Amino acid sequence: MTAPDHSTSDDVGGAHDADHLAVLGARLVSTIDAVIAGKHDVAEVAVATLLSGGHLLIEDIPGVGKTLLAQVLARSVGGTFHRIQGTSDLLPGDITGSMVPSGRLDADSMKFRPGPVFANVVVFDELNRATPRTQSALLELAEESTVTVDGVAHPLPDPFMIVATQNPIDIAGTYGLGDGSLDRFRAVVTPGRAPAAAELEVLTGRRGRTMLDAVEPVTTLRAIGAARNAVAQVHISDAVGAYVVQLLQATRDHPAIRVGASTRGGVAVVALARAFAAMSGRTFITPDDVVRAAGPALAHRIAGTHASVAVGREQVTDCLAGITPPTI
Amino acid sequence: MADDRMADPQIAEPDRPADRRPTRPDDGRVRPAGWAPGTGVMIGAWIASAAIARLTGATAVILLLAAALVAFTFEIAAGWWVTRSARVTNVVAPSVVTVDEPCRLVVDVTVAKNGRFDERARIRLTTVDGAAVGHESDVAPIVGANGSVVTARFATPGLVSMLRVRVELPGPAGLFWWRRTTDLDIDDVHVAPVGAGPLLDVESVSSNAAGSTDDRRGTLGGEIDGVRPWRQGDATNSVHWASSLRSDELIVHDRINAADRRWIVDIDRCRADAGRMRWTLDEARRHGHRAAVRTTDATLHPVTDEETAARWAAVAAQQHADELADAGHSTQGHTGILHRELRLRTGGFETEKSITSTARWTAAVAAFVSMAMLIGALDGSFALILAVLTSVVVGAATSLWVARRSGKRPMLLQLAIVAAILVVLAVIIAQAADVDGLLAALRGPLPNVLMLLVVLHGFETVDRRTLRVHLSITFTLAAYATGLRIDAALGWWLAAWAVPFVISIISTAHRPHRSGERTPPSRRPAAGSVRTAWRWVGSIVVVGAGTLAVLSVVPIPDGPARLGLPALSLDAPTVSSPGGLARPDGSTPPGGNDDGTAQRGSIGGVVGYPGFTETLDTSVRGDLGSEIVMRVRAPEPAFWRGQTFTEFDGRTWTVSPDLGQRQDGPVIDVQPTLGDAVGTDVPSDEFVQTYFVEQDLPNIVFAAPRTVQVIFDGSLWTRPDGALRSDVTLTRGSVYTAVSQRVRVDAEILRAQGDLGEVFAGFREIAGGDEIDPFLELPESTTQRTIDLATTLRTPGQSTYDTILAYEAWLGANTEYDLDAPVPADGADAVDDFLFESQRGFCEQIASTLTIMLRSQGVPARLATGYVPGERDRVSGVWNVRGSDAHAWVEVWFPQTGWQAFDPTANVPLAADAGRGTVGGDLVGATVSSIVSYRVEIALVVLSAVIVWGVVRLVALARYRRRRGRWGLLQDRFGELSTAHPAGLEPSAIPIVSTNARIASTLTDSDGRSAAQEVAGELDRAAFDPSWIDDDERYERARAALATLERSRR
Repeated sequence: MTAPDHSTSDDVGGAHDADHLAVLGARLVSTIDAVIAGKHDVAEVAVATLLSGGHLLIEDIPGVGKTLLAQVLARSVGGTFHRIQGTSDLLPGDITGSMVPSGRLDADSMKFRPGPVFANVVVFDELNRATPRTQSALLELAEESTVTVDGVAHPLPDPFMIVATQNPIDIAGTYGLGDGSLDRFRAVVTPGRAPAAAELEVLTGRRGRTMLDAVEPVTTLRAIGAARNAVAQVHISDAVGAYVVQLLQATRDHPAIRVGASTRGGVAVVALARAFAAMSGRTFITPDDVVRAAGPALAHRIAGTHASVAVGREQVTDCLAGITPPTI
Repeated sequence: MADDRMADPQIAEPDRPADRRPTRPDDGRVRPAGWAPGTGVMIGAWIASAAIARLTGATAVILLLAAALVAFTFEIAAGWWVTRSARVTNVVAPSVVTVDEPCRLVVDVTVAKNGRFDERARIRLTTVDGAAVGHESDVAPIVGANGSVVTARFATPGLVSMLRVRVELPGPAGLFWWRRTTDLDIDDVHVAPVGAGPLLDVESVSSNAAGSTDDRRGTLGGEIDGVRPWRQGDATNSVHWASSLRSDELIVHDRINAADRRWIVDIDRCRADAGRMRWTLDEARRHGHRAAVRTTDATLHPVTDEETAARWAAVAAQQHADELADAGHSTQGHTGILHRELRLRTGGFETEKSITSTARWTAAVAAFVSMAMLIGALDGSFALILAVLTSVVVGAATSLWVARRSGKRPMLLQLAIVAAILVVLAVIIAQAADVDGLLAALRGPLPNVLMLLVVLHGFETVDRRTLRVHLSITFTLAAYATGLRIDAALGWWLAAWAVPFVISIISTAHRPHRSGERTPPSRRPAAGSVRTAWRWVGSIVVVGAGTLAVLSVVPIPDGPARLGLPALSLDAPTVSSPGGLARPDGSTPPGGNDDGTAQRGSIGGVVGYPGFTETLDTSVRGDLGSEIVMRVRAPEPAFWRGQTFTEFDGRTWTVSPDLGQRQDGPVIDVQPTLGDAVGTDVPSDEFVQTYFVEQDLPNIVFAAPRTVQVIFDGSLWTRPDGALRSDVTLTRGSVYTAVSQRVRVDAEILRAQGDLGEVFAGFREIAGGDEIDPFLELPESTTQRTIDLATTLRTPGQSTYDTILAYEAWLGANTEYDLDAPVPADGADAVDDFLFESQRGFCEQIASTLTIMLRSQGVPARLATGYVPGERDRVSGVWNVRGSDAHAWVEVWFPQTGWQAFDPTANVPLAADAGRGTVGGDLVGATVSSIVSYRVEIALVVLSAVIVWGVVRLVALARYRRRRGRWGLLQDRFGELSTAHPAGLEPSAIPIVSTNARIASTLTDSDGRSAAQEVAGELDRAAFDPSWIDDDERYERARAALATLERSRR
């Protein structure tokens, strides 16, 4: 399942050109919208996560299109796409790859056979069904973008993005992600049940999985890489930075939140806000970008393993309501 | 695992009977909560000042008392008003807490009248389920704008589903506190007991995935199913070394056959031991066992984490409490337990004790002013004022310094203070040796001791309680000074004292700003300050109007209490001829002015009134001047009489040679003189006057007629003609008090006595004319045309009162009051000359004429001299008598009511009509008259104040505009669009976070929406885009778009 890595005319050569980023973002979002009905906000967060160079966690009950969202995201960017199904017998080696006999008797008697993580987009289905060991192995390599087997480092492809899905924790037979593991995801979305009209479209085949095959890559890996670089250049002023700091402090002061957001949470908010700003055709972050980014980027961090992401998102809204966004 | 019936502990919580819920809802009633420390002393100071008012009879003290009373009432009412508007809208609480562990709750309180949260508000939390009680309030400014973070401790384990939130708020001065209690349903808070061993007996079973219940944990066997972290009890040979090395922690093989041990805790058996239950569940997890709780219906609930364990312990504790209650150790006790409110904090009512430097320094100013007032009243030296000022300043600085060092004062300082006290006390004691009499004590050592007390207490004023005590002493001191002071500047002094006093008392209730506290970002300077200013103006108007209203029903005090009747004389020259008249310097005045050669004004001087000599030449009028000669504290106006004259030779009146009787002071009872007898059916009362002599006066003791007692520091001659003379002259600074009988005559009583000529003719037939005749004697020079005129003007059978009125009317119509009336020709009868020749004259001539006319009709009459009441100082309540108030008038002998003064020129009402006013009425009159007389000045002051205020506002606004820049001002206008709720927009649609983009999205108008988004984009760009360059064209476009938006919103 390897997409041709050819450069197309819509290569984002002018990475500084904000409009190109906006166009790219809009194209990706509309691709997702074409398959998944009524989830525009979720699509935007997914694209923003992609452009910000982070990993996405989709959490919801089974059957609301989690895997489909991950698949369509992977297809729309082109590049390689692998899918791992989380099970309790999945071992770290199963995903990283391992040394296998090469059939030769010289020094290269063993050769490295890459695991499924060697792809641009890795969809990890039902992450919480995998054992904690496997989960942490995955997230560690995601952090380092490198797989080390027998002392040899194998770099992961660039761009690299993990889209994990998981069921809510209180469903039987799962290993809940620890707070630390959750922290490594830039954003969490909970698509929720589709509205009735959208469900009708899915059932009649106008949208949904049947449309997946029709998805063509709308951009190239190079363009994504350039876009990621451009997003990282988006300016954040001190005022907005202070706003994020206030938000973090508010989560720490909120009585119903056990542990407030970490600094990494703040970094995630800013990164996601950068992507939102770029997708809006801007080269600077506004407080509104922070407000949009705060929910997806912080909800899972403050909810921890004990509460649902929805509760976390409400609490983030609570915190946002208590602080005044900066203006000129 | 499959056999577990999973359930959420929250869902599984057993229902509790509904009747457990207390039934006291928020009835919206505001109840008193208490008062701040120091308030009691303030009430004490008020009572002490009331005693001072009673003692001195000073209206100004009453003014002070009434203002304080109204201000305190206002404080109470304002606190009630604010508290009434307080609403507790929501409480956010953590869902699991441990007993006695501090936890934070956010209490959303809105106080509508303020519009913002009052930082002084206290919030107390109690639970009403009986499970737990806790609070530890106090209040930091919080996450939001209208709530507050409260740190609470829950005292007993169980479930809390309702919180009683009590909001306590004071009035502006923070003296009196009100509370409003609201019961609020909250999501259950599980208050878990502290987990503590030993372990409970638990049902321990093992099972594996295959359902085997054999306990084979740790044994090697079965297929390896994966890896898992090491748990207590795992065999060493199951360690998976490769994984362990890679992850730096012990990893073991997980085998299919390995069984998990499960500890099952039966909630029914361990309710009484909820703490042990929690411990056991935690221990199970720590040992890697699977823990579960079995409820009464045999459902198993897995306990996977600490929080769930805590929840179950809380549930168990609650069930235990319910059981105990149901077992009904008396239902009464049960209700008692459930509804009990425990107050953990029983200390001072005000938790914040620190004082602001504003409060301290303004208190120092108030203390200094009150002491300066007192020193001024006692004619203290400038050096004393300077010493007081220094010590007050040092005291304030020291106490602030000590307060900042949290109450530790250095030993050296204490020693210095003690030494200073001893020295000052010694001086006071030395002075006290000279004191004789209460008044001297009240003016000497007592105020000195009081002032020493204030100065000393200034060093101790380190917290709110002591500051309030300090202010209370200051209040008493001010009342004391006010009682003593009688000068015209009293009103200004009081104002100078009251302003810092009020500022201090109000800022006492404010929390000092601590370093490191984040101040809220400065918003537009306009709205808040204007509202605050108006609230202040309104409060002042309300308190002022209330004070006037109270005062309008308080009568002017009828003089000092008997205890405080003052008398004082200062090294006065002794009169050379006992019983005779003396000039202020003690010398005998030159032998009369009856030689006919005296020039007008020849006697001269402030008190050179001819009426105060042995002989009164009616043609001479002294040069009187307008200085104040004395101040008289009396509740109502009267003639302050000096002498009476009976013998008249046509030009000159001569006093009777009878010196009367000499009596020694200080308390001198004066016997009634001829004609002062009063019938019992005529109402009369006591009339106390205190005379404060302001200029050196002769030895005539002025008093309202019909004096019954004089308190005088010296000896008096009480003369049969009703006059009083002293042995010493009245020097400046002397004080004496006279008590007179005030006969409440009115026109009816006088008229009813009929024609006095006939009455006295009857008397003479019965008793002979010896006593009456002197008052009927006409000088030989009296002309017939004078008698004829008197007869003509009198209608036969008419009462004498009406006759007098007729004479006065005729005089008013046909003669002219003129201080420069010509001197009658030598040998001419002064009365005839005045009536028929010059027809111009002043009070002596007019009064003489009236006397002669009445005598010619057989009515006993005489001439009296003295002072008219003068002008009343409305604040201090004294009559200011000036030299020019010297006067002569007629006294007519009415047989039933005694001598009655008549005066054709001065307007002094009859005693019954002189009804005592109220303090307030007086004050309103004074205020109105001074406003009227100073209207131009007042208008100018108000105008300039408005201008200054306007300029200050404009400067502030200009600075704000410069700071904000033009884009900032656009942002302000744009932000205001969101605060006004858009018509037709659901409140829920108003964004919680008002970023520009979100404000733009609420602007519903379809044209407006794109315009709004454009404006929002421009504003964001201006604020956050580093490459943004100010551009006039963009600005104009944005401004135009915004203007369009604003128009469309209107």
